[in-house]
Amino acid sequence: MTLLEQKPLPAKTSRPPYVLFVLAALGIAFLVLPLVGLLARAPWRSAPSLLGRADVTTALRLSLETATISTAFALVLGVPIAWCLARTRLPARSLLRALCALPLVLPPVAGGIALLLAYGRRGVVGEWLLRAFGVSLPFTTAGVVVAETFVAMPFLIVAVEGALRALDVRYDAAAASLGASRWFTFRHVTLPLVAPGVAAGAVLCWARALGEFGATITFAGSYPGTTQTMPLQVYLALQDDPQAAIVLSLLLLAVSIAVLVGLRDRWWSR
Amino acid sequence: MSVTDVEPALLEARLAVSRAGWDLDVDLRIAPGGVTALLGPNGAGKSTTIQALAGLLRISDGRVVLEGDVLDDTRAGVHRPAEERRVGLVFQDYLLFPHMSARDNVAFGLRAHGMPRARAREAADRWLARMDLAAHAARRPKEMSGGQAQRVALARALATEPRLLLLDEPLAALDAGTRMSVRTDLRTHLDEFSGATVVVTHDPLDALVLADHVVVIEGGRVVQAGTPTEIARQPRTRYVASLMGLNLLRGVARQSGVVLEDGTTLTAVDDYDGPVFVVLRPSAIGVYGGQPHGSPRNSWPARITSVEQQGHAVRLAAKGPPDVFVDVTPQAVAELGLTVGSSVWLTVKATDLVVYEC
Repeated sequence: MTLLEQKPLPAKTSRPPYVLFVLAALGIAFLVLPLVGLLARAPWRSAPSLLGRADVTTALRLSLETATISTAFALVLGVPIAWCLARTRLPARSLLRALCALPLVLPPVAGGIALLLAYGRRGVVGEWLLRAFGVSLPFTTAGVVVAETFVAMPFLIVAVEGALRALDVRYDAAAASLGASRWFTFRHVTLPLVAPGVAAGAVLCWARALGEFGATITFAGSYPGTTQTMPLQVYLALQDDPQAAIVLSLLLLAVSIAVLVGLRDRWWSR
Repeated sequence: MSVTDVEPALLEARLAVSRAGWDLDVDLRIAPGGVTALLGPNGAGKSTTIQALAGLLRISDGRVVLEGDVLDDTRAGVHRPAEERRVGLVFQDYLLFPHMSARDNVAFGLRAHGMPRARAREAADRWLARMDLAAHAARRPKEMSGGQAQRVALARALATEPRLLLLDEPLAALDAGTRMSVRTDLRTHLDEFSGATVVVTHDPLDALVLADHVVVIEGGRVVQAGTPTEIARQPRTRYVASLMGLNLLRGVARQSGVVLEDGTTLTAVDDYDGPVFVVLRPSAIGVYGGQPHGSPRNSWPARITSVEQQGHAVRLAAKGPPDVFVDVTPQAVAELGLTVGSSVWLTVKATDLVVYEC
């Protein structure tokens, strides 16, 4: 180790060049001002009564329920996907990883259209589901869950795969040498050791599902009580009741802040 | 070769592994209760051997039989995975499960074999007590010292009652102070183990203290095998000789003496004819400021190329021919004014030369 590495950085090198400093300050203002605006213009006095309104509580409950169910599905399907991507030597692994990450970059509206084509009444799988089981997903609460899972699961996959890659694979070898089957090892060694990564992925996934708009409105529509989640209600309220839209946005902001606080150990307390 | 050839072997293995630009071909036979040390430099194939025995790596050719149980047989297409072998493995860095207590680490293998949690924990506690760790059963690995972690790893491997125990550099992760006591301790536990043991090490002291049979591997091949005493007294490669702190020279024995590869001749008392190894203990070589007169039959001029303190002695590298290492006292260094570049005369008695056939 050299002398330079042992000492803390001298003050001079940690001061940014003026250009970077000015641009960074501008960028931070750009990010923070909308939040300030939301807080400044919020109708604080009417907020409590608004939040107690039946249609608001219904939408809120629907959002929380569908986001939670979607996260559960994402855990059941996403953790195995992450394991396969991190641990196996599948030939098409990079392609598979790209496909799993696609919903991250795909515009959610396009995702919604794609969902209709696959699981809609005339869709590739949907038509069969309808004929064989009489199940129709579009424009139902189940459809909301499908849309949210589709959009949010990649967040979980990415987080869990990262955690699995950081884990020493030799723990598996140690477990095998003690006679543990691969399933036993997964449950008792691998999963507990990546639990923090799984938790972080689940929180991200849940937050993304809660805010889902585009795929949901396209695939599930916006029926109060069954498919109208909070983000959809905010958007509709903006047209005839802007005050309500602000309050509902504040509520979503509060949830987001709670998520960030939940993740603080992993992200911003270094 | 040794007793192990006569006794029925518990482990009989011929392992061949080939990779691009490198291959391994090793034979091992270990009797019940036997401890074999695999000694060799980095990259010699020690770890590959141990992984193959554990079933973590598929051999390209060969056969592994443990107590009549065929674990690998490439001709017959047999390969039993690690979890189906009665083989315990202690990793160099132990790899204790960090989210479990010492007790649950030791109980893990029993639980994996289907033993109920309570019974597995009782068994684990008995193992920890045997290792003098009863007071640390509830501790997590990061709360333990290196020596304690090593014993937990050993208990974890032994708890599943393996017939073959593999120890990968068991003392390498410990500091010099604890290594001595842990080594002695380990020897005691290995003595109580009825199965076969393979210890991988690059430290000759580990091999000599822990094992009753030493196999030296270099470049994927067994270059020497024998009892610790044989290995220590009669090394057959420069690597082994340097590990034992000996000078190893090669030559041809004639009536006049041993003609070394560098052309010089040394007088010996042993009566050999043909290619031989000659071992010179560094402490048996005398150093003089000028040409000595008197009894030693072998003397030659040399130049000092390095001077290093080693414990209580000073080790000199001397350029001859022949080139040798010499151990002298610090007083001798001071009296003769020895530094790098000094010209000296080296002597050795004919009776101090150990000569044996190549």
